[in-house]
Amino acid sequence: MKIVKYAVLFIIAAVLLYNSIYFESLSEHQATQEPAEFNSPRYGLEFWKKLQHKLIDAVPAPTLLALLHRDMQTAITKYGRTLGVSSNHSYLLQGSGTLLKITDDALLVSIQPPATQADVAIATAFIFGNDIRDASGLVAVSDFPSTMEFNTISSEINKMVSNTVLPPVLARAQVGQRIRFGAATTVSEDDPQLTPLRIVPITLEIVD
Amino acid sequence: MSKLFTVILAILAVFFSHIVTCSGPKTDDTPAHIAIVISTLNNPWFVVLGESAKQRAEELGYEAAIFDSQNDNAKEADHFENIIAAGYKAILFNPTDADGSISNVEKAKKAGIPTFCMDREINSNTAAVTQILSDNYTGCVALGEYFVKKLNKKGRYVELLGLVGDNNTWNRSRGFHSVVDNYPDLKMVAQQSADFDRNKAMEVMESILQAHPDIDAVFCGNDAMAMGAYQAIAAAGKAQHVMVFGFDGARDVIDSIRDGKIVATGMQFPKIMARKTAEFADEYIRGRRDFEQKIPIAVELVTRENIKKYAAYGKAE
Repeated sequence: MKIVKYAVLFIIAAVLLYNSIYFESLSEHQATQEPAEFNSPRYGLEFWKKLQHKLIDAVPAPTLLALLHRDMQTAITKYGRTLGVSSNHSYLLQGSGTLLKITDDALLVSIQPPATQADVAIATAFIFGNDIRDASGLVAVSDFPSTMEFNTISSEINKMVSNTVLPPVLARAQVGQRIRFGAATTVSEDDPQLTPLRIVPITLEIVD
Repeated sequence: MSKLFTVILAILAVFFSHIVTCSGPKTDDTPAHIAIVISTLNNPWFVVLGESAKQRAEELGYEAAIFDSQNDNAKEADHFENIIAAGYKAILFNPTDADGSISNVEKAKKAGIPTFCMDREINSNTAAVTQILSDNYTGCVALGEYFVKKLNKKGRYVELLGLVGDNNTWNRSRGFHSVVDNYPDLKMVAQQSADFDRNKAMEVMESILQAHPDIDAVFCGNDAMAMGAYQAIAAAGKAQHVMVFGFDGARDVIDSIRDGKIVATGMQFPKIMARKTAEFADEYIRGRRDFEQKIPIAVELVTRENIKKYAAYGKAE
C-alpha cells in the first residue's frame, strides 16, 4: 500500500517537474525573443497596392495647381499632408496633358489648353524623396518602433517608380503625345516652385 | 446644519487647493524641477539644444538643471538614478544610445517621471511620452542629391559616421546612400566612425588622407566632424580640391559655407525641438496625455546658394 502511495506521489512529482522545466538552446531562445525583422520589400509591395486605391480620390492636377497659385493655405488644409513639423506639404494628384518636352530628368507636360506652357514636370530621375509616402497618408512614423523602418518604405516605393512605372513610358515617349498620370508632389510653403510643378509618377501611361 | 455646511465647505476648500497645486508647474514658494539630460556638451550643437530647453522650461515657471552624459550610457544611467531620487517632475532627454537608453527611460516611467526625447530616438514606442526628432533621413536625401550634382555624378569620396549606437547616424547615412549609391561612378573609398567628435574626425581624416590622397569629397554625419575633417584637409593643402559636406547647421559650419570652405549642411532646428519638448513636458504636467509618439521636424538643405536665409541653428531673423 505504501509502495502504491509513493509511486503515485512520484508520478505526480515527475509530471509537475516535467512541465515546469524545459531546455532549449540559447540561440533558439533569443530567436523567439527578438522581433521579426522588418521585411521592407514585402511592406513596400503591400503599400503599393493600397496606394492604387488612394489614387482614385486624388485631386485633379488643374484644381490643385490653381489653388496652390491662388490660395496656398486652403490647398494645404484641403489636400495637403504634413509630416511632423514642416513647411513642406505633400499632395496626391492625377491628370493628363500634352507632352511638350523630354529632358534628362523630366517629362514636361501641359495640362491645360493652350498646350504651350509646361505645367508639370514628371520626374524621370532623382526619384529619392518621401513625396509618395508622405502624400499617401497611409503610414505614420509612430506606426514603427524605429524611424529607420519608416524610412525604408520610401526606398522601396522609389525603386518601383524607377524600375516599373517609368521604363515602358520612357521607351516610347514622344513630344506631342497625350500622357495620363497619377502622382505625388511636395511643395514648400516658404519657397514654392510651381512652374512647372515637379511631380513623382505613381501611374503613367501614353494615351494615344 | 450650519456646522455641517462649514465642514463641507472646508473639505471642498482643501480639495480645490490640492487641484490647483497639482495642475500648475509650481507651488507657492518652490518651483517644480525639470531635468535636461544631454548626450554630450562637448559639441556646441547639443549645448544649444540643452540651453534652449532650459530657457523655455524656466520661462514656463520651472527650475531646470542640465546633466551631461558625456556620450556614456553608464553616466546617463547614474543621472537617471539621481533624477528619480530627487523627485524631478519631468525629464527632457537627448539619449546616448537608441537601445541602451530605453531602460533608463523605463525606470523613470516606473517612478512616475515622464520622459520626453529630443533630437535622438530610442527604439521603443511605449517608454517615452513623445519623441521630437529631426527628419534626418529626408535631410540627407536632399544632401545626397546636392552631393551628386556638385560632383557631376563621379568621384571618390569618404564618409565619416557618428556614434554607431545612435539611430541618427544610420538614418543620415542611409538617406545619403539611398541617393548616392545609384551612381556607380561615385566610389566610397573609406567609411569610418568619428563619434560625432571634431578632434576624432580630424585624426580619422588625417589617416584616411594618407591612404587615399586623391579623394574629391567627404560626407560627414554632423557639423563637428565636418569641421574636424576640413581642418585635416586644409592642413594637407587640399582644401581647394576636396568638398566637405556636414549636417546640423552649427555656427562654425554656417560661417564656413558663407566663406566658401564647407559646401553644404542639413539645417536641424535645435531651438525649435528643445522649446517644443519643454512645452510638451509642461502640458503633460498640467494634464495633457494625447501625444503623438514621434514627431519629425523637417531638415533643410543649406548651400552657398541659399545661405542668406539661414543663421546658426536656424533661419535668419
